[in-house]
Amino acid sequence: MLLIECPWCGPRDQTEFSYGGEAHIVRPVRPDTLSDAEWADYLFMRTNTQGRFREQWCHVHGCRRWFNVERDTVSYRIDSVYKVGEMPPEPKE
Amino acid sequence: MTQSFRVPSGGRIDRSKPVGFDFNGQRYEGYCGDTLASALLANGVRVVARSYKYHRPRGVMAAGAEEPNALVQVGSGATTIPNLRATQTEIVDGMQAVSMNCWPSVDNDIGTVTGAFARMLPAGFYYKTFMWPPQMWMKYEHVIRKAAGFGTAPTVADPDRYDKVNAHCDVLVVGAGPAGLAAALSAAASGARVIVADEQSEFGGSLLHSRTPLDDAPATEWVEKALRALRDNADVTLLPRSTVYGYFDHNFLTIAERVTDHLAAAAPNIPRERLWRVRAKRVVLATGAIERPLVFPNNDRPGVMLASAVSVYINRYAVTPAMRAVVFTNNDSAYSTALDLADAGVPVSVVDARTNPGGHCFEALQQRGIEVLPGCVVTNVRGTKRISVVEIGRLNGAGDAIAAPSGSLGCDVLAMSGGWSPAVHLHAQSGARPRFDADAACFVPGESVQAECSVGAANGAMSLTECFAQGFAGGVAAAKAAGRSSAVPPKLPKLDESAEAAMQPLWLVPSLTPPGRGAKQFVDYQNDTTAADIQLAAREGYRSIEHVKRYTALGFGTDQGKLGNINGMAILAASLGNSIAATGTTTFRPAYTPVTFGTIAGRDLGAERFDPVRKTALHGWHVEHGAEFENVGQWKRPWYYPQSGEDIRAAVNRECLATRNSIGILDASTLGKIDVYGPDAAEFLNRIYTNAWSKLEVGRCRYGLMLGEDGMVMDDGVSARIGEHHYYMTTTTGGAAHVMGWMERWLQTEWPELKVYLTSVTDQWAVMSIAGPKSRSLISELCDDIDFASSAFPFMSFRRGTVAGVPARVFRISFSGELAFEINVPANFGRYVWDKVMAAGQPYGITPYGTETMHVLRAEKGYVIVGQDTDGSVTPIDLGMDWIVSKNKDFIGKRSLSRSDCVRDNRKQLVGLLTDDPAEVLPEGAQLVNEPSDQYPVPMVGHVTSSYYSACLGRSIALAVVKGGRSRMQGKVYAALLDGRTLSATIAGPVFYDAEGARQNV
Amino acid sequence: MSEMPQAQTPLVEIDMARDRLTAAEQAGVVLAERGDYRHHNLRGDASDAIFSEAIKTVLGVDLPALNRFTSGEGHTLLGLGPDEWLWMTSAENADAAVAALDAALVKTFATLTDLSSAQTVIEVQGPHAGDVLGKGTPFDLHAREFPPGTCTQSVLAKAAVVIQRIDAAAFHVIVRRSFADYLWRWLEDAASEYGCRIEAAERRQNRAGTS
Repeated sequence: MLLIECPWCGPRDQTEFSYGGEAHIVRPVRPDTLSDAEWADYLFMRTNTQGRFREQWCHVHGCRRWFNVERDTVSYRIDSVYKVGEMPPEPKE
Repeated sequence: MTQSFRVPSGGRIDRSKPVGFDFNGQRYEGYCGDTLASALLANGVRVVARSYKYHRPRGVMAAGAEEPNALVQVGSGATTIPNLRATQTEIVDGMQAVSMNCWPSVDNDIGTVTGAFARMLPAGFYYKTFMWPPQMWMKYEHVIRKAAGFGTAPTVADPDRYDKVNAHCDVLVVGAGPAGLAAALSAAASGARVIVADEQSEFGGSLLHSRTPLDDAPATEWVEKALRALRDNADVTLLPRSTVYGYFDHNFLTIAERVTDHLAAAAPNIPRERLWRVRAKRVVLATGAIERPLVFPNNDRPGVMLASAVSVYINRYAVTPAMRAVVFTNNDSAYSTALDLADAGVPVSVVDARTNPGGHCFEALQQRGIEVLPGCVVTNVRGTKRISVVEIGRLNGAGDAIAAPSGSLGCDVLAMSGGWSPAVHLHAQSGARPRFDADAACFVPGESVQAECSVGAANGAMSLTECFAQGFAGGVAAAKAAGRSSAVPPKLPKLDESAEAAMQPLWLVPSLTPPGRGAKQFVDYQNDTTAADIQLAAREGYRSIEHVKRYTALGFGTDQGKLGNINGMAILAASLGNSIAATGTTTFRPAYTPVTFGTIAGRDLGAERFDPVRKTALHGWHVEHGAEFENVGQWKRPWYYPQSGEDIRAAVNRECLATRNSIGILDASTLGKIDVYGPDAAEFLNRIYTNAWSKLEVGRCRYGLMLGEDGMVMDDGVSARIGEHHYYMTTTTGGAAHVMGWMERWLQTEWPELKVYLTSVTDQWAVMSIAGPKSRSLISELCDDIDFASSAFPFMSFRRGTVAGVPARVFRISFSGELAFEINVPANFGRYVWDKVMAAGQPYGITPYGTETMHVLRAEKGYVIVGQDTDGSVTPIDLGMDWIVSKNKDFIGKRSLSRSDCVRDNRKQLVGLLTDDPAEVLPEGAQLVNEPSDQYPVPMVGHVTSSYYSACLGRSIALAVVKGGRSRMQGKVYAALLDGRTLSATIAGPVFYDAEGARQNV
Repeated sequence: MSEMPQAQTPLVEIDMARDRLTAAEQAGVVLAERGDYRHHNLRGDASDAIFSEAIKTVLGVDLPALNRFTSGEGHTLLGLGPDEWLWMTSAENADAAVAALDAALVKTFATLTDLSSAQTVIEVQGPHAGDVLGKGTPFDLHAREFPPGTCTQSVLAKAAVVIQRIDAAAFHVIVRRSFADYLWRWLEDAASEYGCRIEAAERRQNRAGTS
């Protein structure tokens, strides 16, 4: 059970959130100009990262905001959370 | 025999409170404070169980969670619990416990016959022997399972209450021995919120049987003082009888608290067990250490015990399990057991594998005149149900073989100690990797991965002084890391302790015969895994400890190898010529000790609490009028309203005809309702729906279809423009929450520039749909501020008004094909308005109908239900709904509709089906084929999605998706039924009734 | 129609007249429905002066920060999201306030949505009130983390709720109408070990508002 820090509400139990998959996938501005392959790339293809991964979560049972989480998919460690439209902070290392 | 092994004074039992209990049908007496194990030992009961594979008699070996043998089933009937460790089970008056793994009795076990052929059952025996022929496995398995088995599961529902709580703390201290109490005291003094959990009935851990005075007084007095300080702190929660059994991500830990099992009678509504779900900022693991057994021939015989357990029974429970004892050790800690035995008046000798034992502890024994045999080991144990003699051998100079037999010693208890293993289980569950400390010859906690630290014996500290020091420091550090550091930590107790002499690792005691030839040398008692089994696995090519575990069952028992694993790993390492560090450990997994299903289920049981029951404002009316209910998501919806003697078909036929001929009324409150507001609302709907919304006039409604980005139908519903920038959207009942979240996601993540606010108003409105040719007449009687004339209030429009005196939104929309009005009123007034409508409808014979009739009426009209006629692989084109798909704008999913797969001409398309026998109703889900055939497999061309008997049409109707179906009108398809018959049907259009739509446009 | 329409709260099936405890027993938890509030969802931009001034002027209460609430003159505002508030009122002049707010908010991008029938308030109070809620919510209710004046949205049992800390031993749980009956039964069950008393609060007439 993860503890996720909502950028608006602070750390909350995973129970309050819903998962949205990979972040920073931008909907093409003109889908009609894309080939089937290009559209499929947007629609279906995900990186399936092992390690540090940027993903979307929604504080669905809280403030209802969607936001981004940078999380390690192996250790589940959360490195950063940031709002929609922002880029993740530079890795601390 | 009445407690003849009980010491007359001392111990932590209450001699003024005798407790009577039954073990294997025999009545015994113990005292309040006894465990089942201590009470049985006090009564001289030595054989308490049979072993899993060989059914050898076994006795109590340990005094805590690590006990591998003394597994019992407690209670009977619904509340029985199998698989309990007698060493952790407190006796209560009237308790009934029985041994496991023995039939017909523990003293005369028929299964022991396998013991006589024990040599035929090496590691992997079951795999090797019973795999062939494969078809026989089921038979073998049946017999094997009967011979094995850990206890009996109850066969009826458990009437007891179990509960769950969520808890939060700055510092969770696991274990309340010296290190844990020290950590709790110092963390609490720093102002931290502290939870202390200990699996035992009493806090204190090793201090409860310690010989070492603290502050010049018995250690237990210091424990009492510490507990008083902790109890006085409102931010400290003390949880005795509470096993921290799981350590999960982000410092989330689970604790099973046994609340009432130690009470003969509990207050009502108090849960039997409680599951604590704890989120801790920091965790201090003070879980102590587990003493290691030694591996030598017949080391499982009743009377062979852990040395520390013997001390616990003497000092804490006032039981001397021995008349005469031998201590067998490779380290100093068992010397104090020899002193405990001597103090209790038991003659004792010490066999020490070390050539030159010395130092303070050794001298203490010398002073007491206790015989110590240095450089010697036990080479065999005699006695089956109770040991009588141990045989001694002298080690050679290298210590790896017996130089010569060295006589024997008579005894009924052999107290053994192979050193100590820190209980790193939770540390490992947290994701960290324990590290092998070659000097201490044990695995110790490695680098922390989560916010935890180990202190005391769990961290390899083997002296009391170190345990206290680490505990205090750990508690202060944890509180500080959690943001609390104020007060001066309390001071350490004063104690006088001398250093112990070094231990000498002894993983497999050299014996006179090689493993596998002489008597068995058990490594894992619970699974009867021997040293020979592990060596055999290595000879057969197993290299990984994880594979050896699965091949030999080492550590596979309910004790998860708490005693045996480390010896087994070392024996494997030696067989492979590896170091123990390189061999590594098996994975530590939750649960640390078994947890009952009741605890995990808690109160989330039964019709009221397993899942929420969502009710509409009209639910009470439906109940009062005999509705049968259907679950739609979490909602309870009326399915149909049977009148006396009616079955579902008769009721639905009546409801359908009443609606088509006069008026039916449906509770449609469960439909999802979303308030869409903002200057960009129309643009937003344009992007979300497949059709265009900008030109919809205020006061008008439109049907909309939503697709996923993959082009597949996701949801549908009618939305109305109720203001310039204001829309009232409806969704399917089941899709409401998903659609709301999905639209919110688009707004927040892709289109933040759109000024739109979404608010769920599903629960705000009670919705009653009145349908049928008389519905206008009826609603006109209840509402005088809306002009219901068709010209004034046309189909697909919306009006505000007052129905039965209540402000209402009225929609002229229809899901039945009849003239229909949907009355939306604030739900608090739903029942009032519904009652008024029903009263006013009496002259018209108004008929309530449920979801089944709703389905029939809409299917007669060919209206799809998303999720029934679609399944996530259906496009609007497949449904023949091209008319609703805009060519002039982009919308979610549009691009996918032109993907090559979506424009195939053999996609499954929605069609109607008419069975050639009109009385036959196709089963929903039936697969369709073009030709009945005996040649399998028959190519399937589609399936039935909706199928009903239509009373209105006097025949059955069905909707189906069929490959290229729209170009196959009048073609035949066949459906095979489960009863072996085949039904033929003719493909038709999906609209069966009033195809021109005249009835709703009146 | 001259007859006054009768309202029913979402907890109509619960027999509030029961008193489960004998006088001698101490109630660890007291449950009551507070059905006398009008509820409105409020959306807008807190940095938008037209919006915040309108709230302040009409309700006499400042917009609270997220997860806090402010009260005064019969009005309570709860911060539910960065641009979302819940306005609850038992004020006599609520109708006028709704009209005034509606009029004020058309001048900017903001909206008011009536949820008076969509949800209800369950009051949970008593020495074990926090213990009962703690059985069902993963949110930390300790007074240090969640003092009076704060509120939160979270999960309670299997229902989404707003929890409002009234004082040390009293909470308001705001729950959707369709989950209210389930949640009430869950609360009664969870409270039973502490001794649970049901307070039959007078259910005031909930006016119908507008459509």
